[in-house]
Formats: sequence, C-alpha cells, structure tokens
Amino acid sequence: MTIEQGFFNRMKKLQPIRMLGTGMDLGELNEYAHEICFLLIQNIFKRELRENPNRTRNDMLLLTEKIMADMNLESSNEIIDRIVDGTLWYRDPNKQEAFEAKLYNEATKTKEDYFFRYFKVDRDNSHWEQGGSTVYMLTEESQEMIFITREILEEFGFDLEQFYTLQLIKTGNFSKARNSIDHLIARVRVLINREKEYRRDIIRDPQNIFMDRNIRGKKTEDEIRAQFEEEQEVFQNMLAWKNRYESLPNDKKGEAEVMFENLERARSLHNNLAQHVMGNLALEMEIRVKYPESFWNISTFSFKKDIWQNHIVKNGLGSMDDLELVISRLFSPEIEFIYPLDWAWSEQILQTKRKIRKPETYDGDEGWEFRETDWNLLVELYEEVFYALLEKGEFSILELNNKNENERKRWLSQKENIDLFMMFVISQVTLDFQYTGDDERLKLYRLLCDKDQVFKSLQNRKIASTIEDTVEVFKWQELFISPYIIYLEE
Amino acid sequence: MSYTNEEIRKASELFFHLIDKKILPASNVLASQYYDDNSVREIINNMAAEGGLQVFATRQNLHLVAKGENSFFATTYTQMKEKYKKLDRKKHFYLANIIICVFLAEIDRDNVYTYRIEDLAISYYKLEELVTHTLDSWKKRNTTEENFSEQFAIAIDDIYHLWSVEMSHSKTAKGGGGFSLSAQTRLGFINEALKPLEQENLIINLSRENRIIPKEELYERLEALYHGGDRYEEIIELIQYTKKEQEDAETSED
Repeated sequence: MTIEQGFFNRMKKLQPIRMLGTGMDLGELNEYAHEICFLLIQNIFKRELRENPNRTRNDMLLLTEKIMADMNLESSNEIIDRIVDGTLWYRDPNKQEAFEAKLYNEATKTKEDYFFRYFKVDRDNSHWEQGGSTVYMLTEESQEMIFITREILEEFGFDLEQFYTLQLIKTGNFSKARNSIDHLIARVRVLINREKEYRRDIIRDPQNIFMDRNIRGKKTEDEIRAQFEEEQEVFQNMLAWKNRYESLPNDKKGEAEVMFENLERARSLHNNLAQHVMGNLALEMEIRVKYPESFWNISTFSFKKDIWQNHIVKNGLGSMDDLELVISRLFSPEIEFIYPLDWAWSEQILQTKRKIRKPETYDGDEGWEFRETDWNLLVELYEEVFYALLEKGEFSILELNNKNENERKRWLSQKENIDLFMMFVISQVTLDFQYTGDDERLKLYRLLCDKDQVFKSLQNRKIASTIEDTVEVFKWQELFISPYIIYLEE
Repeated sequence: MSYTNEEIRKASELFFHLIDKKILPASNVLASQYYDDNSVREIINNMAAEGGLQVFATRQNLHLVAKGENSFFATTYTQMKEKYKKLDRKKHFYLANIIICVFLAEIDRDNVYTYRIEDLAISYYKLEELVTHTLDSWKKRNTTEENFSEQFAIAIDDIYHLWSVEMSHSKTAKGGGGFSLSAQTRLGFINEALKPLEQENLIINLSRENRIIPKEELYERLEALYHGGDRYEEIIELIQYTKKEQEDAETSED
C-alpha cells in the first residue's frame, strides 16, 4: 500500500499551510506574502488569548501595516487591503467565500472538495445588532498552524499539557510555563466553543445528539466528571507552588507573578468549561425526556431544492404573481394595536415588562439566546454580594455554602447567576452606573443602583479577585468552583 | 369542547402579547403555557385561524405569522408590495420577490447537521451573481424553449431588462466599506428587496461589510413553513392550481 489510510485527513491539515498567502498579487512583495499572513494570524491569536476584542477587519489592516513596518517593507493601503482580504477570503473578496481545494481521498479514490477558512466570526464579540463590526477569531485549522509551529513540536492532550506545565513550574521555568499556559487556555477555549456550538446544534436539531461528532469521545457522564476533577486537582497542584513565591530570587518574581495570574485565568476558564459540558449533558437529557418526538421529525423537503430549484426555477410559474403566494407566509402581522379596556390586564403585564426593560439600552442579542436572562433574579441574588462589598469590601464564593436548599436552587436556576460571578473573577472591572455598553456586570450594577441608591457609593471602585488559601471548597451538585474572593481594590 | 374563563383569559393574554412581540422565547412565562396547556394552545390556534394567522412553536420560540393570502393583516411584506403598486412598478415587485427567493434558497440547507449559522452569511455580490444566473437561465430558456406560461415569459423579459439594463452596477467604496444604497443600482435594490426580512428581524443586514446574516428565527420559519411534507404539498398545489387554471382559461379562449 503506497497510500496509507488517513492520507486525506493529513492533506486537510497541510492545505491551509500550503495556500496561505498564495492567492494575492503583491507584486515585488509576493515572496513575503506567506510570512506576513502568518504573522497576521499569530497576532490575532495573541489578542484572542488575551481576550482583546480588537479583531475586526480594520484592526487587521492596522496590524498588517505594523507588521510590514516592523519588517522594513514598504506598504500601501492597496497592498494591505489585499493581504487582509486574501487571508479572510478566497478569490474575489467581495463574495466572501471560503478557501477551496480539491483533495485526493484514499477511501473513495476520488478528488473531494475541501473548504476551510483562516478566520471565522467571533459571535460573542461581534455586536452586530448594536452596530458593531464583525470580530474575527482563528478557525481550528489556523490554530493548528500555530500549534504545529510552536517550539516544542509535540502533540499534547490537555492533561499532558497540564503535567508538562506543572513540570515547568516545578523547575522554575516560568516563562516557558507561561507559554504552555497560553496553550492550555487556547485549548480550553476551543473546547468551550465546541460546547457552545454543540448546544446551538442540538437546540436547532436534536438529532445532532446522535451524530458522531466526537466532541468528548464516548465517555460517560461519570467519567467526564472524574476527568474534570482530576484536571482541577492538577491546577490545584500547580497553584500550590505559589507558596514558594517568597523564596524566589527577585528576578524570578515578576515572571512568576504573571505566570500565576495566567494560570488562575486558565483554571477559571476550565471551570467554565466544566459548566458548559455539564449544562449540555443536562440539556441532552431534557430533550430526550421532554421532546422524544423531535427525533422522529425528519424534514424531507427543503425550500432550496424542492420548491425553488426543482420546481420554480425549472418549470417557471403560471404567473409571476404566484411568487407572492410562496413568500407572503413568512411574515408576522403588523398591527397598530389598541388594547380594549377588557384587556387592560394584559396591557398591565406588557407595561411592567417594559418598565423592567427600560434601563437596559440593548436587548439585541436576545434573538440568539435559548432563554431570556432573568435580571430580576440576578439583582435579588447579587444584592447580598454587593452589600458584602459595601460592608466588608469583599465577598467569597464560600459564603454561598451557608445557603439552604431553596436558596441554592435559586442560584442554580439559571447559569448566568454563577457565570456573572466568574466574570468578576476572570477580569477586573470598574463600577459605573452610567455605563450603557454590554458588559453584563455593569448592567447588573446599574440595576442594583436603581433598586437601592446606597450602591451608588461604590461608583468608580474597581473590583478584583483573588483566591482564598483554604481547604474548604465550593461544590454544589456538579458545580465546582475554586474558593474565589472578589474584593474592592484600594 | 368548552373552556373555562381562566383558560380563555390566559390564552387571550398570550395571544395579545404575541401580536405585540411576534416572536416569544419558549421560556417566557406566558409563552410556556402554549407548550404546557392543551386548552390554551387550542384556543390560541383557533383565534389565530380566525384572523388568517398561524401560530407555531419551535423548541426555542413561539412564532406568530400571517397566513399569506388569507390574512386580514398587513405585514412588512405587504407594505413593500404596497410601495410597488403602480402598474409600471410591478416588475420591481416581481424582482424583489425573486431576490427574496434566491436568498432563501441560498441560505436554506438540505442537510441540517453540518453548518454554522455564522458561516452562512452571504455577500451582496454573491447574491447579485446568483440573481443574475437565475434570470439569465430563464431568459435563455425563454428564447429556446416554450415551456413557460405566456404571462411568466413576458414578466421574465421585463424583469431581465430591469435588472441587466436599467439597473447599474454598484461601485464598491474604497476599503470595503459598503456601497451605494441607491435603489437604481443592483446592490441597492437587493438591500431594498430584503427590507421586509430585516424589519421582521429575521436577518441582520450588514451592508457596510457587504453581507447579510440570516438569524436563527429565519431558519425556524423556513423549517416550520416550508420543510414539512404537508406544507410542501400545499405550496406546490397553490402554484400549480393557478397554473392549471390559466391553461384552462387559455384553452377555452381558443
């Protein structure tokens, strides 16, 4: 056998590398195209790791300009446009098409179409409905390029990468450990994204539950849970080395500090991943139990093929007016509605609903969500947290351990409750009740201030987080969170 | 079939809320009654049917739509139709319909497992190309074959002329920042034609990035309104019936 099994899949990985920077005409600079494109991808990747959302097409133009300046290359706007567009899209940038190659598949012995992109839309950061530009992130294909070109050319699994990081920390190799943590973070991000996409997929079509998507192998729920616990333990081990911080030579301290900060971030992201996975497992179960019929409904017709292509395009219509019959059913009625007195109570509900909504200047993303966030509940729950901040200047997640069963249920009733706490943990924030953007923490703060003026005294204070040095843990059902404290920075 | 006052009250409350919002998330307190309470669901379906409306539920959202021809109610679509009411503007309305169909066909998927909504954004230029292809192929068959009905064939010639002669190509602004939105240009007219979908909140129109992004709700409507076997039969019958009727009329004239 000259052609081994898996050849097709190997080619899939090579193709993005092979095609990078080839589809653009930069004249004399053609020999640099490949390198500039890779640097662009690498820089976007770095911003992604640092949670920097400046990753729009415009940002890419600026980055490319900078890269070329650093390389001492002469650039023009036109050249920069071509580089960025040629990395974003294949051929005519106006059509925004995916890259396309024909690859030989050893299984079918034929050439098959393979499509890929270097960048994809970062939906969480593209606030289209608030007028924002599209924010891009790396696809798994282009991440792969970053990974295989790293200094240590080894393919690590998550656990191995963790242990490797631990070794580096033990030997005091902090800058290398930091690199390695970046990869951990990237990996967790990929996994979180997969879970998010999987969630959308199974909501849209439950039959996806049965598709072999290989998102977490064939593991049972218990095995997955055990794996998460093990991974958390390794993080714990790594963080335990923080105790040695004082004994470090001064020149190492700075490095160690940054490294441990990143490690903390990696751990909380890992926590977040665990929540996504457990949430999805629960959703799978819910769909299986509550909507068994959804596995039977297989749509056999499509608008594309059956109505448009095979019917209208092929045969034409009796009259062009008939198109109207096809389309008109797609739309909702527009009614200038005046509520009769009898329906006053229904208006009442609408009105109170509106009132709650008024302070929030955006609710655009709503359409993408499965559930609406219950902000009333959030405000009620966080009142206590903010009182603690007012009185003691800090709040530990462990304080929630004192809650009774009912209170716990309320905290667990929507995932935003805990997510919001983790958002405070992951990055610092300065409180501002006049803020109108879409940071949910600040929205929460504004709503709290609306409810009780006393919170306004926290205006402009910064909230940071730290981890408590204790053996006590926060563990409710499947939810495990490290003993974080959020506190007001002096 | 008799309902309690309480059931009727609940159903009406939800119905009016739905008229106000058009789409409610399934988790909404009122909307959840449609899922959980058979009586409420029946009452609402009846109320909707009486008004030429249709309510349908997906796992994520409860939708209220007008039932096409039989509805008393205006929609963003009928508002567009109103705009092209004058006889000489009729071909504009036809063209807009074709653009909507081409767009829907392009984003629709036979295989629902393997796509990412955000990858399905379609560029204005791509859509322009697809519309041109469709019209070209109709036009070509119009001159070589005689399969199309007379009325359809005449309309094709008009629309083809409108699209390829009367409307000009749009110029891209430098740096990819959008294009002229004048309805005299092809891209501008695409923007115009998709307005009803945009106003209905079914697409995100990102014209300054040259792209149109279909929203989850649009896929839900495609799935519920066109993918089912019954719905398919219904639509095909609707179009074929008129076609047959016309043929009959033509033969009786002869």
